[in-house]
Amino acid sequence: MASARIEAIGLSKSFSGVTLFTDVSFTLGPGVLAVTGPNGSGKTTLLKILASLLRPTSGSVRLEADGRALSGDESRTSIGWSGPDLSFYPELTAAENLSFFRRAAGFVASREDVLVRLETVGLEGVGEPVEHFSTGMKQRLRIAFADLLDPPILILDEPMSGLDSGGRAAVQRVVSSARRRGPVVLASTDVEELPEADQVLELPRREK
Amino acid sequence: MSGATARELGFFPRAWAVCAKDAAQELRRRVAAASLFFFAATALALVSFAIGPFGVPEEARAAVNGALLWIILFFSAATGLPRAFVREEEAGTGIALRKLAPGIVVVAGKALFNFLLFLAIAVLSVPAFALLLEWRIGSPVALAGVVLLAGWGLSLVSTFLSALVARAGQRQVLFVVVSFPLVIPLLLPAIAATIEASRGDIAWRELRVLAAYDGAATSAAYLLAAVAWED
Repeated sequence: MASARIEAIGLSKSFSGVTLFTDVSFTLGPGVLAVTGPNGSGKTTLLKILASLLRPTSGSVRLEADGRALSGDESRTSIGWSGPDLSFYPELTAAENLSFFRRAAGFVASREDVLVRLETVGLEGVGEPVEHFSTGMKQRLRIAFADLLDPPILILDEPMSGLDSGGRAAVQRVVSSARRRGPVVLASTDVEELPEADQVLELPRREK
Repeated sequence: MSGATARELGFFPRAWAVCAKDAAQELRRRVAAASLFFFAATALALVSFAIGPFGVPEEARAAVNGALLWIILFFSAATGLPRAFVREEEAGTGIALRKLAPGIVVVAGKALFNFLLFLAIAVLSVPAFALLLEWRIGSPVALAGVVLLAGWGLSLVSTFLSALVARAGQRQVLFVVVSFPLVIPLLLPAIAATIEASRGDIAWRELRVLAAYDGAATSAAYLLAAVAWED
């Protein structure tokens, strides 16, 4: 399978007249891009735009897999995303959440497949509802969610947030597997805590 | 690799997954079901105490009971059905759902769950209403048809409006204001057909109106689901 690619062309984003960032451009094939910058510089917003969850004020994002541009519907399953505002159904267990999201996306959710996802992030055998999860367990589940469909493009916002050493190792495993098949975009205020990156994009402090 | 291969499940299994997930949540939390059942039970108790079996003259019974039944069903539904999408936004799960499933799949799954919830309320409250008011229904089959047709329309419109207002401020007020003009054309033929059913007749004209309403509402939801939920 040909590898995937992200091309950001002149991205700008403003909210209510406040400019977050302007003219962000880059091209990324298989490998890791680390997005960094101070609080409020627009890292989360930029990653949501790359994940097709937000529209840019100007500019565009071109996503490719198998050597062709992805349609809007294809990008749902071809981009794995997680961020701090990603939540899960509190009444359901981690396995039930992942099974549901796989089916809603249009894929069979076998017990074995879901178990493998949970094992990757160290949540296997946890049968309690998500509402009883700690911050770190929720973050591990976010990583499993992002990687749920083996997406050719992986976008993780603050992936190390709230994780212990085991959780950080799980993120490293997921990222090192994903970077071989396509682009991985990671964001953090502290680039040192992220897995090794091939490119670094630093967003400047927001203008007042 | 899932992300770049064709989907394995079609529209209906995906919509069913949404419906089953809502049902699993509801079985564990029972927020919507409890509010629906308590409202229906309270309204039934009040009506039966206030009017009782003989509080209405015989010749007016069919009309009064038909209207009261739909008032109870509608307001019971209005307390629980609009939560379909509001719950997603309150829990912060909307972004994950929008990420993976198109609006039409989510609206269809949630409308189906709301319809099943409405039927559960109707199955309990209609016989209880008839029993408490000693209301003999001439054609139970015709009444079942009215409940099915009007129930689907009510569930679908409630679900769709819930998607529209889920991310708005003052969503409860907005829901009531927007739903009023959409639900009245559904309730009027439903009441008229219920009155005829209680007299033992089948109101074909009203049933056709209800079927046409359902068809129009289903088509509109299909065309506008992406706008309502995704944008």
